[in-house]
Amino acid sequence: MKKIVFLQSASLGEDVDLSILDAFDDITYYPDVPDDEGAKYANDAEVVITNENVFDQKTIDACPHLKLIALTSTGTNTVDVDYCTKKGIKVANAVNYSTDSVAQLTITMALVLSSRLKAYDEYVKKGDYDKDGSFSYFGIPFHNFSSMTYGIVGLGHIGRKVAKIATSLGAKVIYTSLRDVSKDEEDINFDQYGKRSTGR
Amino acid sequence: MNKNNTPIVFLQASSLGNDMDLSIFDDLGQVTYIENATNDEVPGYLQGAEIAITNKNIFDQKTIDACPSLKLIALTATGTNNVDLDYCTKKGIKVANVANYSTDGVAQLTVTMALALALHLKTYDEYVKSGHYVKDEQFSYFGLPFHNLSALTWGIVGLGHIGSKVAEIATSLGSYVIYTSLSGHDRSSVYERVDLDELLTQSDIISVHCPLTDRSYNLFNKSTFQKMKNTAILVNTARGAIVNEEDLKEAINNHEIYAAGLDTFKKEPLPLSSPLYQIEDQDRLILTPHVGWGSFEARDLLVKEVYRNIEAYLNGESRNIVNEK
Repeated sequence: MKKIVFLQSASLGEDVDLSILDAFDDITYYPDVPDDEGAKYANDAEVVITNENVFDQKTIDACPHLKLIALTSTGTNTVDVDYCTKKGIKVANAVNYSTDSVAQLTITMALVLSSRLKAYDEYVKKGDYDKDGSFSYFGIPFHNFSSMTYGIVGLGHIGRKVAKIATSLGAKVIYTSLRDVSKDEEDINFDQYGKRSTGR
Repeated sequence: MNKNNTPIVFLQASSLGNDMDLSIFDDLGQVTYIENATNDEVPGYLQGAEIAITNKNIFDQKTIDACPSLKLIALTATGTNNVDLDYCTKKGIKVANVANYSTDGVAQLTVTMALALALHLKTYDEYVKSGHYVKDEQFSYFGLPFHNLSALTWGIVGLGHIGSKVAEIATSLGSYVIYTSLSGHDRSSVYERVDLDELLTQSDIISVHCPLTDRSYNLFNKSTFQKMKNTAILVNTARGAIVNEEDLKEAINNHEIYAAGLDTFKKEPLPLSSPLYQIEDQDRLILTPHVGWGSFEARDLLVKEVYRNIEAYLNGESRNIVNEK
């Protein structure tokens, strides 16, 4: 029977149903363990589920039964993965669950800012639209997304989704890669998106 | 081209924005530029004029009869609802409009409003800027749940140029697109066509892209809102009178729909007395002063297209004449 602790169970939101995890015999839920206090609650656990608790060498050494760190995230930067490997501890992450969500927020922010949406909304709600008397207002100039160049830094899953939406909005998409291109990446259809730039 | 003396009056020259260079029109004839003629002033300005350039001035029978030398009304717009087209035809007056100059801009504004409302952007932005984020100490905040657009259905009312562009962008966002045609025509083999009631009941986001006609006037009224999901978002960048503002106010206040984004209004500019200001949660409303068409590129194209329409007329050709048989 493996002892499982979920260290930041509230971090996924109150409306997410975690009850499928009850299928595991011995699971304890802690809503919000501070990032640096993981050792206190995980010292007898074999499996830790966490989002951002730090698992550095000190913490790992304080959790002698630990066999698996199951991250509720894609990023693994809070875990000393090399040390885990050395100690025979597996680290699992979650990939591609948020591609659509992050891409849509990215595009929303870009559109809202380039369309000057907040300023126009306030212009109307403050009464200036009524006061100025014209059916339209040009005091806040803006450009069509379709006449813009959209630069993507990092053409992974999220970057490509953003590139696709930006393209449908008519923008010219270019991207840059901060990593060296390895053979593994050659199946990505780079030609679709403008120039590949190897500069920073 | 040879400069001719055709009397041309630009009735609402300021309506295109002061950053537009209108001097190209001087090549077409004798042009008088009026900043913004009121409807009452129109006949006075048009005595002796052969061509009138306007955006929104009303050309009803009375006005047309008062402008006996008029031969062409060149609209700086797509909408022709301010002109009595039948009477113009009867009187031998051509009416030219400009189509498709603002497709990208209006589509972009539609999508921007829908996304900003669906993702509660304003509320989240204020949550951070007001200091609540640092106070609450969690790295993230879910007080206002939102959905992937890729899990939503987006209903398009009117699958013309703008509607199609919005459909394309919505599809790239992963939404399932459906559309309805008020005139009853199939417009696409790609998107599913449904009748209006189905669109109202199935859609999470509804955007309006149809012209203002007897059929679409007041289309979004009390009973329409009752059919919609109470989580639904409505965006109107078509003519304002398609949406009943009093009924919209009630619908949002009574949680019959979630939110609305409007770029157009029954009366423009929107008066402060509008029922829209009685919507309790103003974060469920985005209002913009009819700017979907107003990007630099759209207005620049509009100016060029109006020029070309008039140039064609002067050369005896028809370009974008809406009342030609």
